Amino acid sequence: MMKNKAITTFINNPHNAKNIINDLIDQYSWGKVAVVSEEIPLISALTVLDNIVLYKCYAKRLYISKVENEVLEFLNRYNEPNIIYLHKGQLNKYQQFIAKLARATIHNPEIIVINMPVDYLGIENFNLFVDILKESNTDLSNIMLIENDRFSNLYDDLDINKVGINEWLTHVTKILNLK
Amino acid sequence: MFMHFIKLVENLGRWTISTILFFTGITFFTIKIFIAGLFSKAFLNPVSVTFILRQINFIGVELIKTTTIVAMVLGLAIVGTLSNILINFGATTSIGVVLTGVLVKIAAPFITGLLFIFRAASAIFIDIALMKNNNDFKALKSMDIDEYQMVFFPRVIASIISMFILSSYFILLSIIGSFTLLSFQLNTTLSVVGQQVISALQISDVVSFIFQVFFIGLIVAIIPMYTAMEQKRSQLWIIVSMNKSMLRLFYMFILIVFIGQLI
Repeated sequence: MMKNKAITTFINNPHNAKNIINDLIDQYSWGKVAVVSEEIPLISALTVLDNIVLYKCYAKRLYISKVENEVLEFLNRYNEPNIIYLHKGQLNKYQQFIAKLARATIHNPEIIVINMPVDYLGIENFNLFVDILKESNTDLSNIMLIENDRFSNLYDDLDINKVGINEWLTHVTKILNLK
Repeated sequence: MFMHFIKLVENLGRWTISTILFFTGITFFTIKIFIAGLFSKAFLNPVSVTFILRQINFIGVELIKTTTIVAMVLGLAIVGTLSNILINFGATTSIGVVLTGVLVKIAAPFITGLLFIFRAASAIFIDIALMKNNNDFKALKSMDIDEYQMVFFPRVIASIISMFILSSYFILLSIIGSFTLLSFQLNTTLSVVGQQVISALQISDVVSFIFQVFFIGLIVAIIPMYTAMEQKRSQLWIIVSMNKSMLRLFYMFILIVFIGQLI
């Protein structure tokens, strides 16, 4: 059985991952499964703030300005508070990644799927990201990372529980069906 | 000769089919937007309201300066010319009727509509075409957000509201302009000009004004969005579709103004 470690799953098959992501998105709402992926871009017509809080404000009927401080706090921890009013075209890859992370984590989904090269972050920021996740309600065992072998070399000091896709999917289905 | 005739019939048939398809498609598109916007949980959702206000600011508020200048210049020119003609013919009592007819029924919807097309339609088209090209609709779908509620509906409502406010503003400025001019020519007051305009106002003028303003506001948002959504995901197609969108818009605009005059 799976243990509640820092990052639970590591799948070394991007093609497989894409299909799994699409299936999860089709089956479950963003409130349950949030995805950080190249395939789900930031919306270019909106600012970073709007992108991050769009789902949360829409689902909970909140005004965007009400959650602005929460977003600023998140971006501050990555030393990127200035991107809050920028648009996608004005961001570099790292800043886009931060914005997507914020968009996925801000509403505390049950599962976070990350299918992007995490080395954009660097080891220091990745540890920070794990810390931020620990503070959120999302169970760390429910973070799915899809990466190549570079990741394990970069972050070999992290507690990563590598499991096969079938085991992970059983785990995910169990969590989502329980709640 | 016969071949030319066949080709002509073919072209006519193709044009008829594409026109029918366009009108059917755009009607369903419009109905879907209003159903999604008015009869869903998104109606009066704070995010939706914020987006409507932003769109009003984006397409309407930025046009106030231009409308002010155009209304002052064209309003003065139209009123000046008309009042001169009426004074020469000794028909000064008809000034109110003529002013109302020209301003409310023709000048305000037509001139504001043209300005609105130049400013808003192109901006809305580019906005939606880029969203489609950048795969933004997939992002919205992933987040369980209906594009009809959060992207299309706010633009349609903002467009109709902006068009209504700008046209009314045009009429107001033109009346003030005409008063300034008439006060020199006929030694009259603002209240007299206002009374003449109001007393000459007929229900058909108001209905015609509301009809034109509503439908011009509607098509300025709907046609660019519909055409942008029809296009394939490619930058070349954005340019081709933009021309198509502006042409469709222009023909519909002329049709609406024409029907407005028949009311």
